[in-house]
Amino acid sequence: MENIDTKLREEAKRLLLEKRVDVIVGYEQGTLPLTATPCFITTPEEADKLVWNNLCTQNLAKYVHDLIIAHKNSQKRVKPEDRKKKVIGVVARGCTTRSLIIHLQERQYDRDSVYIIGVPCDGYIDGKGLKVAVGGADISEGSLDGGQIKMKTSDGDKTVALKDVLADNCKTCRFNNPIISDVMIGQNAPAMNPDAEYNDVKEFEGKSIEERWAYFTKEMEKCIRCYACRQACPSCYCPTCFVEQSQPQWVGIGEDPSDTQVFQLMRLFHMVGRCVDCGSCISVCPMGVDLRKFLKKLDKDCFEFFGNRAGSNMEDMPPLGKYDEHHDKGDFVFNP
Amino acid sequence: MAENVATKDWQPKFVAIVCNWCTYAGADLAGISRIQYPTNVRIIRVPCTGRINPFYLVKALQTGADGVLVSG
Amino acid sequence: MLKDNEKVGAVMVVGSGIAGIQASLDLANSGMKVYLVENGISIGGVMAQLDKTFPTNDCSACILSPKLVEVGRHPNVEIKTRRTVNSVEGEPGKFKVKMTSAPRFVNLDKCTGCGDCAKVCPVSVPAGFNGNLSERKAVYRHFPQAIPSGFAIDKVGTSPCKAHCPTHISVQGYVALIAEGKFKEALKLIKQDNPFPIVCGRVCNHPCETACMRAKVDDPIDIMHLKQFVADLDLNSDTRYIPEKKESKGKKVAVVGAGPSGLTCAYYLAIEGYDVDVFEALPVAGGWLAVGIPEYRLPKNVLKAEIKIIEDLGVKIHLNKRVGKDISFDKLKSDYSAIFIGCGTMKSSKLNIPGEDMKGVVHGVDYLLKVNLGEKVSLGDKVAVIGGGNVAMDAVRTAVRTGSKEVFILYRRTRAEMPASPEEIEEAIEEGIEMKFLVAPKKVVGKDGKVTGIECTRMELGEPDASGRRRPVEIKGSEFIVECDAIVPAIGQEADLSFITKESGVSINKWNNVDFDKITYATNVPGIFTGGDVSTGPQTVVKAVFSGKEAAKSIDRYLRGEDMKTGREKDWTKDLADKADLSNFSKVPREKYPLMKPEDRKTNFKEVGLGFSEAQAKAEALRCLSCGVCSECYQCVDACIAKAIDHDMTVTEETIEVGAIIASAGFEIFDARLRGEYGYGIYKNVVSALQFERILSASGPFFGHVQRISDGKEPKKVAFIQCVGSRDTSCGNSWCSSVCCMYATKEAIIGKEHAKGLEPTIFYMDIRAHGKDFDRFVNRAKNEYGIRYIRSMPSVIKELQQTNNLLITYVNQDGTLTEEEFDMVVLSVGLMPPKEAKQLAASLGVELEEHGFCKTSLENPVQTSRPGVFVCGAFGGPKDIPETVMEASAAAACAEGLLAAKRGTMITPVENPEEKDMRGQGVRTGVFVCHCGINIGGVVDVPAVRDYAATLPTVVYTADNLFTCSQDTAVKMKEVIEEQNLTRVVVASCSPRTHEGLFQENCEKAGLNRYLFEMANIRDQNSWVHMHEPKEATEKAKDLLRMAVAKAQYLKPLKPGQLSVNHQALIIGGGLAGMTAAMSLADQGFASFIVEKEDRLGGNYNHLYKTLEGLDAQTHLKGLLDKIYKNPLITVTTGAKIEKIEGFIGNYKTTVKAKDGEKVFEHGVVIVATGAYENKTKEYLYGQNPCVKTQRELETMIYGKDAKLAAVKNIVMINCVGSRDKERPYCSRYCCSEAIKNALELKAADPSRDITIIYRDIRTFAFKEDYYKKAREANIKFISYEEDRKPEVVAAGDKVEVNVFDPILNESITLPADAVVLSVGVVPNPENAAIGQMLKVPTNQDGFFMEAHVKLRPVDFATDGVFMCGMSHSPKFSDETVTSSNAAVSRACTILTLDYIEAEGKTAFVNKERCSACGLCEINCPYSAISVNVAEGCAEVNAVLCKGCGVCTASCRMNAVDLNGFNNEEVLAQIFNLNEG
Repeated sequence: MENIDTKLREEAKRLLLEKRVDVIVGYEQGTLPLTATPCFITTPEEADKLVWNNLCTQNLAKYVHDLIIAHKNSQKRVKPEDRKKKVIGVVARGCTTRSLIIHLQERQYDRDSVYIIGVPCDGYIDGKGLKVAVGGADISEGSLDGGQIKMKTSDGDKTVALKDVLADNCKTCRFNNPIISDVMIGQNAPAMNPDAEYNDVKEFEGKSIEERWAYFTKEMEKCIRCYACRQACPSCYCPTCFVEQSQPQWVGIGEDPSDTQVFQLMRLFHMVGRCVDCGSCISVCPMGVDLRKFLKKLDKDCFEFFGNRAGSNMEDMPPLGKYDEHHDKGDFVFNP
Repeated sequence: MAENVATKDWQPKFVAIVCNWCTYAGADLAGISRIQYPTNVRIIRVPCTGRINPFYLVKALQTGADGVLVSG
Repeated sequence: MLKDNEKVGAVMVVGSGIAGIQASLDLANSGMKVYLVENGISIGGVMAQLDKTFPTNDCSACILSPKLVEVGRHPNVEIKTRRTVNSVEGEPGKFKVKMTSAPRFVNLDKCTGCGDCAKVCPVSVPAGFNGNLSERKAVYRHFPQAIPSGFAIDKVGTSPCKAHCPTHISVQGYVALIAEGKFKEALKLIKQDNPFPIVCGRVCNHPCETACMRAKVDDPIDIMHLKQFVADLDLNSDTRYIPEKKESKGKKVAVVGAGPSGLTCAYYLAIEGYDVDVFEALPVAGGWLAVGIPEYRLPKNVLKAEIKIIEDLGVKIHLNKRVGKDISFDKLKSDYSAIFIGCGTMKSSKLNIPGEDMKGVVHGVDYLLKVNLGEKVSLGDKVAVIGGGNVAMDAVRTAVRTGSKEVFILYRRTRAEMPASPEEIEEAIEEGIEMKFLVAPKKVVGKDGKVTGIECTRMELGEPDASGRRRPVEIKGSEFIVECDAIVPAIGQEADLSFITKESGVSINKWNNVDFDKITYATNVPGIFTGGDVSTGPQTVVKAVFSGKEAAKSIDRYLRGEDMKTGREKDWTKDLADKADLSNFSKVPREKYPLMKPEDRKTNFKEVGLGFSEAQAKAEALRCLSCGVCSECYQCVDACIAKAIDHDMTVTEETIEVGAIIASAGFEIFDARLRGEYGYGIYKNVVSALQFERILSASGPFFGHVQRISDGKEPKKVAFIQCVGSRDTSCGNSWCSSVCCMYATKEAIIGKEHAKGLEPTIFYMDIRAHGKDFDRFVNRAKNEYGIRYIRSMPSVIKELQQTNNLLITYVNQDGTLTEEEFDMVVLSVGLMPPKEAKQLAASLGVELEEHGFCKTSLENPVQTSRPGVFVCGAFGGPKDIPETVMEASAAAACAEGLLAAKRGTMITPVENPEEKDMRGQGVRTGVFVCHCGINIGGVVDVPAVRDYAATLPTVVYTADNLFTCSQDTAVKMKEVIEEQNLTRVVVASCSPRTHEGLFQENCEKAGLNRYLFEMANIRDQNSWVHMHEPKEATEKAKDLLRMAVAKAQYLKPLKPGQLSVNHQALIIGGGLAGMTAAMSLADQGFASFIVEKEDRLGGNYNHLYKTLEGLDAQTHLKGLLDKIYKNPLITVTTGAKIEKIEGFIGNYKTTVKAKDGEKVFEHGVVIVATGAYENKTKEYLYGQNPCVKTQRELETMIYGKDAKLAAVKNIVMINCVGSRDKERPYCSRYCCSEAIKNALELKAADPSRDITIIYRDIRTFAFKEDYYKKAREANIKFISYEEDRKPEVVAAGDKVEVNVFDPILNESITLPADAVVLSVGVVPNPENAAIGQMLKVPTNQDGFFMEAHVKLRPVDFATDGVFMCGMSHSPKFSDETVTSSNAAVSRACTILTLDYIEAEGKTAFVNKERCSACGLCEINCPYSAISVNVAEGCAEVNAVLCKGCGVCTASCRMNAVDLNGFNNEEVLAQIFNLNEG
């Protein structure tokens, strides 16, 4: 890992020095033990902050989009001939590149507006899982050592195997290495366990409609509509989210549970063919709503009905973006 | 809802969101032909089923429809 | 030739079937004024009667109705129904058309189509629209969606009864009302014209019955006693009918004499509001009715009751007041504003023979007067009554009743000449009265001044006299004496005019009658009128009544200072309805009128007639033949709330100036009765195909339930017999009707869909499925529906008595006979020239061809023999709908070509008021709830829905209307919008699909943007489908209305976008199709670019030498090329390839690579004329053996006079090579005709040649059938084969042999051949797909281009601005190609003539703030109407291209794209309002 950090910093410095990029979005060490946090590097000097390890949780594509759109908006007030282009460098693992692909397919920015620094990924630690693994104790210090996480906690020293506390999405990840990149740091990481990708979903599908509905209702009852999931999601980039739209007001702002259901249903619907299973929404959810169950079900359906895996390559558009009057099969209408 | 289903006189209420050119015309034809059907469906006309925002279905169900028919 | 500026920019289209409609629309949409002239009462033709259309089984009414509505509402089209063209004068560019307009009797501006009139109409006649399988009323419309939607009344003239009744009562009317049990209405109707129904129901001489047409079937209707029946009902009812009096006019009229004429005059004057005094010398009122007619015929109390009504109206009758004695005539003159003299003839005429003054001679009049006044008069035992009139009969029968034992009549002629009514004579004879005929009195013989006898002479009949009766001539020396005690001469009466003073100046004529005007009944003295016997001499009661009525009319006019004569002269016999075909009526005996038995009545004065019972009256009335169709009972007038009925409409003439004429008179269905062996018209379960079509129709007589006519049961086995009246020289119809094979297949399929157990069998000679996708349709019928096809023509049908089943005998292919029983038989009747073809052709000055259809030019099938007059549709020959529509458009194009310079000069643009400023008004909704007559109101509680509407938010005005679509409601709606300052209008009525446009126009007229309108469909989708649940339907109506009102809140005023139009056209392909299109466009003044990929123009036409009909194609082509290259408007690029086509309707840019470099054309429309190719076959040794050729190669040899042909003696032709097989399951259409053409040509050159044509089905449709017949007559042999048993061609030295199975011989045979000629058929242009991709238009599974609609839009694409013609569409004959090209041009001109294209207002729009420019909308838009503007970072809509489908909106996660007219707020408002509260 040390090796990767070094290479990453060198590459970042080079890009900034050569003015290939205006900013690099990457991760730096977090202020709390065993955490990493996104950072924005604009000078070669800052590049040494960059880290890349199993603590890097967030999908940085979200920040790429934000930066580019903010820049575009700022340029609207500039005379066309004076407008400047901004290039964003981004440290990207598999799921991040999938999100970038979706952005590109959805014409959010040009390919040359983003410089992708690919990094191999063997999964990130699920913070909540780690907490559980240490029996809820507060962690005061910690370090990653090969496949082990060594910690000082309020309960004393603890060691946990990394593979045991990886995030669910990482455990069965199919795309842990970058799909597209401008430069690749290090070698591709070994494959995870994609064969088990839909195990949970299959089990869920086996249940009765009533059981599934009950589960949905139960999970939705937890939701406090803080919209953290949406904020974290790289695919949620609408200028104005439907929950904030009036004329018409799509979702009530009161406490009616059905409004929460409507919000989540519609957000889930918007994720069909667009969710890269980066786990951002899960990691930020303060209430621990099992969003992934539903997202994964939709992901499975999307693959089965339309042969599409979100952002798996530049050419394969999401289902709604590849409508073909003459060749689409009509049998996607099915019984639940 | 479950208890409603149990009572005999409970009638589900349906909303049909239909295409102006085929299903809506078909519903008119049913009228011209005096084909009788139950009264518990309300038809909403749209220019094409392609116009149907998925929200409509969700909102219809949220509003209390027991079923939504999309036809076109 | 007229100069352009002398022409008229209007076209008359004669005949309004689909051909006329399409032609009208194309013309009107290209800026021509159109007069759409129709014989009948509504437009739509036969297509409106069809249930479905093949091969797509689209509902015929569904696809036709929008066209009906469009043409009905088009501002440039004037529909003229019930018109007959009489003559056409002038020249192309300016014709004067004279027309007759038959009255409709319903004012279309007022009629709302509610049908209340039909409900009360008592006359039912067979509904021709339903193939006479149901009935309709005399006031009717053919079907609910008819255009014009108003009703019409059928009158075929005045019924003879009415015409011959002296008072002209609507006799048929009251008879019809009686039949319906509407007795009060019947009486009221009678009293409109005759205040004496009680009297005339008893003692009328009823000329109506004499005229009654029923007499020609069996006996006349007993009209008189029907009248008595209703009059007696009124007489005995508690509330008797008294007509309504008009307001008093304050004027006094004197009437002299209270007889029928005087009282009638008084009656009608009183109704008009005059004060009438009647002066009567006798102590009783009624005149002759009271004192002449004996009690047993007309009881006194009954008469009194009748007169009482007159008195109840305010007429004062002064009895015992003899004018001249009790009051002077001059005093009347001074006291009254007008006088009517109706004092009758109360003096008996004298015999003027010796001895007349002897005692015992009592004149008839005096005798009856005395008896009737109650005086006892005894005449003695033996009484001789002299005369043959009714007075004589009265006298003689009275004498019987006053006790005379032997009473007899002496009459100088015979019974046949007696003027008395036959029943009077009959009854007298029944009472034992003897009639001595041909006897005339000479002198009275007496003793002591008292009669003892009378001397008579015998007479014989000589020549007829003035009255038409034979004159009696005395036989000399035949005198004899008849003994009697009394003599009653009853030979005539005279008037006593002594009261009329000389000073009064009233002129009296030599017959001692008052002189009068025959129409006004005015005397020579102003203010003095006369009528009845005093003016005419003794006449009948009804004549007296008529004169009184007419005099009253004159007096009213006189007193109001109007001209008395205007409009009153009428010849009632001029337009008699006496021409009906009586052959269909079966005999029903006349109801016997009940009389008292002779022995019971002889001794007293009790009324002899006993009157009909109700059942008898109804039964008798039902015998009426309804000669005039409309009975003129005027029930409709009362029933019509809109006051739309006007029975006084008359035939009018009109002259219209037009620049061109299009004849589209359609066709007639063959009358299957002419093929008697099939029993049509005799066996109930044998129906015509059109009848079966109506049986299948949901709007038909059985609501789509397939049933037999005899018992209403669902049939199982149904036989269709083809070619009934087609391909049949025995009835003079040699032609093939072209459509029957397909419609029979369609009817069999639909029948099977309606009745699952149906087993249809089609008996045919050849299956002619020669149209696009027709063979597929037939294959489906065979394979999927299991419909049985039998190649055989049944020779006879027999009906089985018990079951009404039908036994069909037919010959199998192998010659054996089969007898098979069917439940029902459908005769596939052929298409005939329209009934009026000859008359129409004469009026239009065009020639008919030999079969009676319109003659057309070989080069241009829509050109008639008269320049400027065009023809389209089946009038030019039997054809299918798409060809009809193509011809219609083509005819329109030709007419436009003639009148292009005057385009737009005769049309009136619609001007609407400026839209009102709604700022600051808020939402103010007006709700109109429609009853739709009883369509909605009969189920839904409309007032409750209206009241509910008032409780809804934003609603400020509510109303319910009987018919919201009526003209008056439209006016009202406009007023309400203005008065109430409405900013939204919601109508709860029928379907927006049919009526939205109408209501939107109302809004526009009131200055409200048309898009601020919304509808709730509470009829089609509510009251009609929940007819038995009124409560639930009412709740649903409220829900639907609430949803509509909620949606309306969010409606926005919209402005449609506009797009400029480039007025040039691109034509892809330079064959016959492309060239014709270019010429046609040039005629209309539009430039075009022909892009042809070959090095020369002409395409397939280069290879055609002569058509079957004899057109010299090469000369035609040469002429065409010459014109093309000379025309400055046409740019030809040959050897060219289209690189790309950019843009859209109105604004295309096409890049073409030609030899001389790249060219770019800018144009507004594209016409695809890419043609097709001859199929390249490898079958039958083609290409391997030189003896095997294609038809095209043979044709080249024939016309190239190839010497090698001379040796070719044995020729075998094989048809359907590469057509109708698995690979190409379509028919190439022209090959059969081509084979026959070449075969005939070969045979003509060398009759010794042996020619065999091996075929699947011979498809020489329409008039081409004649050539098939000719070929058979020329001994060309025909052998049929099946697809799975193809013939085989084998080489045999330098010749070939063809092995083929002959189904008639039932064995394989070998035909030696010098030449085998293959009909190889057509394949589509392989480049179609690539061109389709550039234009974004589709091809079908065979590779031909796919039209927008197979029936009604055959040359359009679904994509606007792109059209097709020629064989790019499907295989075609050259003349059909010409037609399709002209059609494409006509369609294209609807765009090219526009300066701007207006877009639909309901288009997508983008909320920029929400858009993330993701581009999903762009990918999904099927019309390329939305795209992302990268620089702006958001999507943009091209409103003209946008069709408003809304696909973009559903794909947008941001909800940034929305759809005007169906925006998210609007739809959600509906969803949120699904439930109340």
